[in-house]
Amino acid sequence: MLPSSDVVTRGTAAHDQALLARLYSTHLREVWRWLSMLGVPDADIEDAAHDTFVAAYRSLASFEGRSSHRTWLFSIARHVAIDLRRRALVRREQGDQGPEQRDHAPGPDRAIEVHQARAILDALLAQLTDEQRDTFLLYELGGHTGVDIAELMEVPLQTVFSRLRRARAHVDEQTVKHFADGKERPRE
Amino acid sequence: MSDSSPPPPRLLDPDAPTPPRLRALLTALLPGDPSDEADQRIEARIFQSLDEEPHDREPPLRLVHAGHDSQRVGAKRR
Repeated sequence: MLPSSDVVTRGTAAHDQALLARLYSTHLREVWRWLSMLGVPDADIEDAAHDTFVAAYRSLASFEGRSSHRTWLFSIARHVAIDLRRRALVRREQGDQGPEQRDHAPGPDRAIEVHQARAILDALLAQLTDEQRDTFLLYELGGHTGVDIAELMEVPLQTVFSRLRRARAHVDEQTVKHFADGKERPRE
Repeated sequence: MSDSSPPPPRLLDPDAPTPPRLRALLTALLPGDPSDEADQRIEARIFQSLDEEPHDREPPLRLVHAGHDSQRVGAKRR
């Protein structure tokens, strides 16, 4: 939780930019990690982080302080990630492999490993709703607690665990099917 | 197996261990942190984008209180 003095209020452009600079320095690391765990490819995270903070700046006027800055930024980052996922899906359906292998991706071996793992996980998660998928990833990949996810997604704790339970049931079933079909194995 | 068989522990206990194959997949995707260079690049791009935003963010009320630039206030009302 941010200190109470760190309150975002609407003001002049210079004032809003100063507030954004403070939000950026406080939250960049976590925004980056959220974007990564919510499925944004490594090569797109810089763009997505940029888009998240610019969108935050543009919506400072509508921020009413009913949630924390962290929850507010998560909501923006999540929408950026969902939008990118949908655009990537359209690209794949059109036969375009997308920008996953750009030059500032990690080293070649690591990039291939991540790319393959991401493709498998995307297949396992494909039938989940955005809410189930993101709850699953925040919990299983991000190591967030149920309480933290409830705060970030602004839902009751019971809803978090209900989504997690449904997502796990589906993913576990799909994982067994995927590897039973003799498809590629992740490196253990 | 009958329909009344209990669900697997993993569906009842949020802290139940992740199956090994799934854990291996997730381990490959563990998010890292931005490098200092990435941090600087993003920050520079953000503020470049903001510099290109239209500078009409001052609320009209502020201009009324300032007691000047009434043309801009009028323009907002149109």
